Amino acid sequence: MASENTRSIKLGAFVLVGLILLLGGLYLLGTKRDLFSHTLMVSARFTEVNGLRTGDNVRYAGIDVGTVKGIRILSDTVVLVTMLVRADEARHIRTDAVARIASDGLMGSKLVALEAGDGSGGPIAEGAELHSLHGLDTDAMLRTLSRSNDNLVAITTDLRALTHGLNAEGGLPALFKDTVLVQDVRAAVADAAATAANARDLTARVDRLVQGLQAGQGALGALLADTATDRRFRDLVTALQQAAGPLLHASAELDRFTTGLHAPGGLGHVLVDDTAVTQGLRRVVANLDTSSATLNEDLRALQRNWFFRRYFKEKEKEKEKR
Amino acid sequence: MDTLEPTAPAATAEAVIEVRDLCIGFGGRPVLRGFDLTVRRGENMMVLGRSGSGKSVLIKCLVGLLRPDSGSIRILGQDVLALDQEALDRLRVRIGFLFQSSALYDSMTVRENLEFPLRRHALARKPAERDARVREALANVGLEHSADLYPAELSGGMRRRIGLARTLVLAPEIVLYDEPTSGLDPITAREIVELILGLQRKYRTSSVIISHDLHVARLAANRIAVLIDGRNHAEGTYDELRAMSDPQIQRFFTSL
Amino acid sequence: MAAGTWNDARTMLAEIGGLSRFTGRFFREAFRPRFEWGELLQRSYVNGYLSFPLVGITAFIMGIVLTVQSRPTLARFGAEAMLPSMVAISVVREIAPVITALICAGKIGSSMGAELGSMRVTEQIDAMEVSGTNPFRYLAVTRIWSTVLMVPLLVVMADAIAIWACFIGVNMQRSVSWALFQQQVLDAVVFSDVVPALIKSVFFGLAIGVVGCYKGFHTEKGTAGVGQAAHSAVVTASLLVFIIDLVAVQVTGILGFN
Repeated sequence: MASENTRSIKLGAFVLVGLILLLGGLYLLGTKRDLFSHTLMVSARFTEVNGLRTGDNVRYAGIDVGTVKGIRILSDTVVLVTMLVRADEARHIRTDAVARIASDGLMGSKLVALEAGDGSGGPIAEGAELHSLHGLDTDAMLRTLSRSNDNLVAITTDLRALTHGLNAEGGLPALFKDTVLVQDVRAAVADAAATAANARDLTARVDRLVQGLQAGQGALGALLADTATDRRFRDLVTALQQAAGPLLHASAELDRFTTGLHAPGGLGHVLVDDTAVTQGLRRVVANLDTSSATLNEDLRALQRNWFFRRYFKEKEKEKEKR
Repeated sequence: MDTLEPTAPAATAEAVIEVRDLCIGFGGRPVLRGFDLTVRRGENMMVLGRSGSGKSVLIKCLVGLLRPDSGSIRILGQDVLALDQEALDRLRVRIGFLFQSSALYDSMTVRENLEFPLRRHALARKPAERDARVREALANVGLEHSADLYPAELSGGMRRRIGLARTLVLAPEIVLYDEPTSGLDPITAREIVELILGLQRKYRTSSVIISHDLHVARLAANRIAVLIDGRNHAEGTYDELRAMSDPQIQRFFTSL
Repeated sequence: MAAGTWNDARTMLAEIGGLSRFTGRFFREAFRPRFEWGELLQRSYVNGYLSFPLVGITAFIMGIVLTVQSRPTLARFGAEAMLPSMVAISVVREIAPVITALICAGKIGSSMGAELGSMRVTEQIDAMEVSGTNPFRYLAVTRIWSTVLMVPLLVVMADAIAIWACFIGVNMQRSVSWALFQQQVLDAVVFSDVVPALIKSVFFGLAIGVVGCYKGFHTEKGTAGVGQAAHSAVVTASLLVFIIDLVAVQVTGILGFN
């Protein structure tokens, strides 16, 4: 058959194209996994790796420079992570670099982030062991958040005591006689200001994380698995922002008030006459009260969130131990 | 044409097919119940039987397409039932089989149909040799000009002839004909019969012809075996059978 | 009623048994010498090369549709950037193998069932056997080998075409460079996506070939049986494709590739 030859040629071309696609694809995947490029093996010891898995990325200065080759438990507190780092990029990494377990976005896959040290070391060599740093960003964040809340509670308690004094019969004159009380108000104001600043800083940090999430850098899988988490988290941030706003406002007003107290010109008289100022002071205190309550609620919301549950459980255990 | 008489075999010719006590049944229904048959070299043996009497089953057993329940089959001195696949295939090359439906390979031209068995058995390695054999086989059936047609383009009679040519291209010693004239008009049927006789004369082949057609029996057969109730009921020449008083045999003749 | 169900069950069991024996016979004969290279080439041309246009067009459409359909969902999470990775992973792991296998089950399965079925009822298979050619080796082994080899090849091509179609789909509403797209795809897809999918495709090919040949070889009742053989070859092969897919998911899960 004359066409038999043509058929064989067509089939041959077809098979060849298929094989080239397959082998080309596998080669590209292989280079991605550093199977074919020249690499250096480095390692770092961690107390825990937070779910890091073989094949996860190794990042230096925000650039993927390699992959995790293996994870091995050496002893009850030491996990050895070996990494393959591409030789080209490895030239710029120095032996004083610090390895840290980080995540790609709030819910993204884990990765090993290498951070430049003080630049005192030479370039890393095959088999080098890097220092490690552990601790999760979110953990630290939550600790701060909790501390802020404690502070806030303390402040409101103080302020409440103060307003009680104001409302009591003959309260206001007493207030001005008692310099200790003035000191108290001042201390409370300072506290409130610090807390508000704290809360604002915190919100900003959470906000950044969520923005990273929105940019789609996180693990899609985690997002899809728990879409509610994302939304709850966003609500939380908004709530924190709302709480921090009035707090700042309240402390500013209190500040003005105490400054006024100390200004020359017999402010004490003015104050007694001007009921509006008394009203103002009360409003400030009420504001601070609600703000602290909101913040408290936010914390409880965080507690319910699966992502942070572990942290709170640990905290409870610590408390029980004590 | 003077070839209308079947060639008589030599009296001393050895048996090429010996079937003894052949039994086979399907789904509990026995078809052959102790069938015996002997075919000698150069002889045209006809098996006469009604539709569904098990004629086709018989020749399918001969080439190993069906496996009998019991009995023995010896062809060209070999026990068909005891052969392994390879030996059976070698024996099959020496036996031609003309199917009732001609069974031409639809996807191949006539020439490819004929070349197929040659290529398979490496009987004619050189293309020229292969060509010569194909041409000879086609000439034998008088269809030299149709080598490049596809089976679908052929008439029923032509297909039967090409089927015959394909059977002959391997130069078999025995040819089995399954209803060679069924479905053909009387004239074409006559031509096929003439072909069968011509081939018998030319190549000294032995044949088993399965048919219910008494014309074929009269024209082509040296001997006739009557298959009734799964047994070889009677055996003899056309004239001998005709003279028998057995009513079951006479039924064939009265239907003429 | 009960008798009918029992008969159905018996028929089904007989079918499974027959298919298993047929598969076993294929493996016994598949590696024996005297291989029918010519016929294998023929069959690979018919089953592979000639199926390519259909597979290619389907893969292209699937790639575009998947991309366009997924966009709104991902956009809701602000994860539009994940589009290439997500489509690439679904294509490589599931869409391309299964779609290709189903198309082949339809196209190749039916043509094999009909072709071999008509060869059976017109005694061509018997004719081949009595001329001393083993029809199982000549017809079935070559056809099954051709699907075993060609289906994975078609899957690879479907992968490539669907991913390319995804690139076009992404660019229909947003501009993404090929380099970035390729980077995202390669980031998402790993060996453990590709290799199980290819192994799965080999089994798809085996199932399609075995069912097509089995149905063809066991055709009965004349020309009506030919249509029946073609039809039931498609149905059985498609069903088997899904069953194999299900088993493959479990096995890759157990082996830790998920």
